[in-house]
Amino acid sequence: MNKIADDFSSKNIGSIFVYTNEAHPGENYPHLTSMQQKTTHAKALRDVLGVNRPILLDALDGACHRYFGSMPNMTWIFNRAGIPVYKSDWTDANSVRNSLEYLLNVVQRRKAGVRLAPFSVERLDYRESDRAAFYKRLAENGPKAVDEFRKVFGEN
Amino acid sequence: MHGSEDVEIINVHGRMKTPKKMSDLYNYDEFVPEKFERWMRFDKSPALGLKVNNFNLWDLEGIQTNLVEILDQSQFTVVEFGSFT
Repeated sequence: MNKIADDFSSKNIGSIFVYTNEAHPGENYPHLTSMQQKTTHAKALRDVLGVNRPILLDALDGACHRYFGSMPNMTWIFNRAGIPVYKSDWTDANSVRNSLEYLLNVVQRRKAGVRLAPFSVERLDYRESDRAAFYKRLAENGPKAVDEFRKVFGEN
Repeated sequence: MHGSEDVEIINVHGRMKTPKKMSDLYNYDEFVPEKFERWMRFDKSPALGLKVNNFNLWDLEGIQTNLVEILDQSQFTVVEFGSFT
C-alpha cells in the first residue's frame, strides 16, 4: 500500500492510514485504554512495520471506524466531495491499484467530453493468503494473540 | 461533525447489568468471538455514492483534523483502516 501511495501521489491521489482498535491484542501490543497508548502503537506501525503514509488516529471509541463497518483492515476510496467510490472489507493492494486506475480513466474520459453516469457493481476480488507470514506477523503482538487466533479458527 | 460517542452499553451478566463504556467494548482485550464479532458490520457500512459523515481524527503529534478536511485535499483519497496488530 505504501507503493501505491507513492505511485499515485503525482496524480493527485492522497493516502492515509486510520489507526483503529487492536484487532489481535497481545502481550507486546495490548488492547487500547488511552489516546497516548494509541499514539505509541501508531508510531510502532510507522517505525516497526514501515507504514509511511500519514497515520491519523480515530477517537478511542472508534467513532469513525465503527461508522464504516469496523473491519480490522479495510480500505475505502473517496472523492474530493467526501463520497465513497470504492470500499473493500479487506485491504489488497492489487484491488486498490485496479480501482485507482479505473477511476483515473473515468476522469480522463470526462475530460475528453464523454458523458458518464454512475452505476453500482459488486465484484469478488481475490487476495494472496500467506498463512505462515500471517502467523509470523501475529507473533510480534505476543503469544496471547497467536493462541487466541488459533483457538477461534481451530488451527494448530 | 460526528465525534466520539459517549454512549454506555448495558452488558448483561446473568441478572446483573453492568454499564460499560463504548471505548471499553470497542477496544476488546481478547480476540474471542463474543468480543470482536459485534464490530464486524461491513454489511451495514455506508453505501457508495452518498456523502458520508465527518469525523475528528488526530495526527501523531496530537493535532486534530477531520475526515472531510483530509478528503478535500486530493482528487481521490485512499483510506486504509487498521492497527499494529
